[in-house]
Amino acid sequence: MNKKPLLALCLLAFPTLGRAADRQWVLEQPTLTYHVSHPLHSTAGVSHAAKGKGVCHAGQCDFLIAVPVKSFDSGDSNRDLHMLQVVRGGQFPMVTVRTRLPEEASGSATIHADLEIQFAGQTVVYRQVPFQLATQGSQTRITGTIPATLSDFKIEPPTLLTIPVKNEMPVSVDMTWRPQ
Amino acid sequence: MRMIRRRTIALACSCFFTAPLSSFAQTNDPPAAASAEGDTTFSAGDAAALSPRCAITPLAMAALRSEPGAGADPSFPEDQASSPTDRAQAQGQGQGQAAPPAGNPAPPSLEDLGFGSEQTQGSAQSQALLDKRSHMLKIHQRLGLITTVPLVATIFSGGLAGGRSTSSSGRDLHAGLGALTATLYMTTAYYAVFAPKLPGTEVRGPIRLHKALAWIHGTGMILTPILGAIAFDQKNRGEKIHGIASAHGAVGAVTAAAYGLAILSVSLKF
Repeated sequence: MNKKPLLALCLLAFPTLGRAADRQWVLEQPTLTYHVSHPLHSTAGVSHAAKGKGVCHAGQCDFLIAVPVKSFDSGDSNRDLHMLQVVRGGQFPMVTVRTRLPEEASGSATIHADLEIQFAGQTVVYRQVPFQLATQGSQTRITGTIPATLSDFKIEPPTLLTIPVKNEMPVSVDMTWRPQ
Repeated sequence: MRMIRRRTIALACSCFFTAPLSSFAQTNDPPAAASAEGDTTFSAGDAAALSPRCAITPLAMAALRSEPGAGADPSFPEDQASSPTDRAQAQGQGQGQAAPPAGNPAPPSLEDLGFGSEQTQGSAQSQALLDKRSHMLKIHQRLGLITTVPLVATIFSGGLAGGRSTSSSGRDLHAGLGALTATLYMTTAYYAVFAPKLPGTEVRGPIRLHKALAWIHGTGMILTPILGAIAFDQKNRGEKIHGIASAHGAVGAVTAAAYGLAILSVSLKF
């Protein structure tokens, strides 16, 4: 009976104990590829510079993945610089993706994630985007495609020989996560 | 009596220890953010006083309610305090990501990922440089396409200017079209040459071929009109084209071919 206030005191005296994450995930070997299509040819820009972290608590994990816009390489520096301009990469140099997933989702073969993407000065939520999961040892590989479009982010379609590229800009995701 | 005293001390201590907890919950959020919610207007210190969710919280709340300016029904600070990350989410078009409940670890931030502020902070100057570069290169592209029209016409009109033809009007037409082509070409080149360069950018891909071909058609666009002028004078004097002027047609053909390839090098994927 007398110990209860003492216990309460101890719990309250160490508030950070209640804030500790149950588990954390770290992104490794990321590959993000955007695809744009033009009547004359299609282009893919690849980045391996993404960084990500997941913080899990009470069965829910908050993930943040970020990648510098200028890290995407389409194999043509002129095109990359033009891409950087049309997506306002000088002003908004990062693409960030946030999502919240249940912790047990790591055991599934497929997950559907609500993705909040900040890019080109816009924030857009893509709901129920399917991703495939493959677990190898402690690592989990996630693959999928984000059905992004230029108009979602208010990006004016770039033109080549006065012909604009298509509005669709799917982004392929291939990431390996490991628990920290 | 002794028991009551102990409990009172324990209760007082618990509140003493929870005060930093409430301050911690508020430090990431400026007072303006709280007032922007429209619930109440109170300072970070007021919010800290409201926060402890311990047994005496209702009492403390009641005490604060009686204070002037404390608002009629203040919500819990956990509802108002949000990290910069949460605010960024709230500013977006879509929501869908609920703020974490109190006591949860903060969601990861860009700093957690190891990105420095120099990487995450954009600048209007950088964007302005990119905008100017793209603007100039778009004009370069358009003028380059427009230039192909008089260039092709000049090639075809070449048949009227040389050979056995003695018509001065054919030569004049060819010379006029050639002059127009050269003028448009130089204007086109100006927008490429003087477009801002971004420091530290390595030139990769088909643009390298495009730039290499520019050395060929650039030289050709200077030589061709000079050789054409010499040939024009020789023809006007009634002479057969001879000497260096006889290379005018060949140089023009190479120039036109290099120019066409330069356009294709950035248009087609190969």
